[in-house]
Amino acid sequence: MKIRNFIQYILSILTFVFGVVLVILNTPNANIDFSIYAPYFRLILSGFGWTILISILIFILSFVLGLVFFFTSRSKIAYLRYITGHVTDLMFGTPMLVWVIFSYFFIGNATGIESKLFWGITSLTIYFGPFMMKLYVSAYESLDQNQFVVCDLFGFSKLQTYRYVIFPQMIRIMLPPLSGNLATIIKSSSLLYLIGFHETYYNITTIQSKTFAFTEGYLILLIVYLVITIPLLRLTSYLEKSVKI
Amino acid sequence: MKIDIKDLKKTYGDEVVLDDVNLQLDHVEAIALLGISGSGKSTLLRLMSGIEGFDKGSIQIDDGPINTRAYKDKIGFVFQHGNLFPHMTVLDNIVLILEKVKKRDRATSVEKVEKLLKQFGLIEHKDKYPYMLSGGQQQRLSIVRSLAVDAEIFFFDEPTSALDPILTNEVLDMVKELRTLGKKFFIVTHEIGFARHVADYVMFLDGGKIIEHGTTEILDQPQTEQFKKFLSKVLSFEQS
Repeated sequence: MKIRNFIQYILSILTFVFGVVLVILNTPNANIDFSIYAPYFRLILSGFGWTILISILIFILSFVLGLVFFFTSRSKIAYLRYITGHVTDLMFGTPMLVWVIFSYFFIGNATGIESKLFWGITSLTIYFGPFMMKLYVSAYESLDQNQFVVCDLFGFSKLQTYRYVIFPQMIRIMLPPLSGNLATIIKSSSLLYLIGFHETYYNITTIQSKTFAFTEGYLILLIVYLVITIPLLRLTSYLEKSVKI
Repeated sequence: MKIDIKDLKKTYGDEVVLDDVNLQLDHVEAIALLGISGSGKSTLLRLMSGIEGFDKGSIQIDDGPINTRAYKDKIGFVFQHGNLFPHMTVLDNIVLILEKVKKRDRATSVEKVEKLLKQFGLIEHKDKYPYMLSGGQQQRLSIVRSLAVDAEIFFFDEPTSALDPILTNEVLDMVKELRTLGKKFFIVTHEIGFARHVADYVMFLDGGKIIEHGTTEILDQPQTEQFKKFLSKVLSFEQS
């Protein structure tokens, strides 16, 4: 039974490989030759490195920003609540692409800050901030509210309540969707090619325009992103099963 | 224990949950609050414990106010659910409080908690997480936790309503044991048999008012129609 299952697994993967091969065979002028890319190995690797680096940075920063938004969305000061609401509406309601371009070319120009790295990270951090906030909110709402009462009765300070009781539980609830968010951020970072940031997608398209080896370039792109995201997505579903609190 | 409640009123929005509640008692140790759902009994319990504020009136327990840290340090509250920290082991659920909040050193905290767990038959579960325990064990652990901080007055808000009869008895036996330890308690319960045998004072609430109160004999001689009806409904399956 196990072997049968394994064979079916292999077959299911081959189905996709076959599909890709079929498409390539029907693509005009596609003489697959990956060796064209060999001289550009370092460039691909550097793009890969940047993709990972900025994704992790955006992930961490938007995770922190999400926490800030979580607090401002519950603030006693109405102004802060409105601001958070507007940012959320903007980011939920506009394409990431527009936001990335607007940040770098317009806000960048207006403020005189011309760093692609800065605007690449900033625009996506702000974009993902409200998404992260939603994770905090749903984790917070799924907590038993008696936990706060219990902590107060036993004399926990507010800080102790959050540090020892509330946040540890929230993190456990947030972990599975959080690793899913990281995968989304990694994929989305490819949009930064729009502002000429040297991540994976940009570097590959650069090589493509020099060598005209488009098919190979796209295949490499697919593989590079899958190599990063598939383990992450596996981790997500593993966490979903294992995190019970 | 001395209880002094004057002109108590509590509303949730437009809804009046408690109104014109007055009560002066002395020398009571174990009080059972009875009533149908929505009668205000749980609210009265929460107000007396100080975990919730009220609109009007005053509550004093043992001649002192109830909105003070000193009072909170004296009480233990056991809810129907959500008492324990689900992400911590049985041991850590209590040690955390002694160590981080009460600032005792870890070794003596662990020693004290293990002794209590042993005393109440929970020591074999000390490294388990709350979700691995039965509902009865979870409630008993909540009680042990309040004992660990030397609580003197316990508040139970339907602690057994989610439990089957066997687990219910297991928890109620422990509540009963509290009396032998010299602790006082308030309990909101539907277990009339328990109220009769363990409590020394009974209150019956209906429509946000205390309709009848007195020693457990009032369970046998209800005066008002509401209380008679309530008892006949609750006792109809319990031929005691």
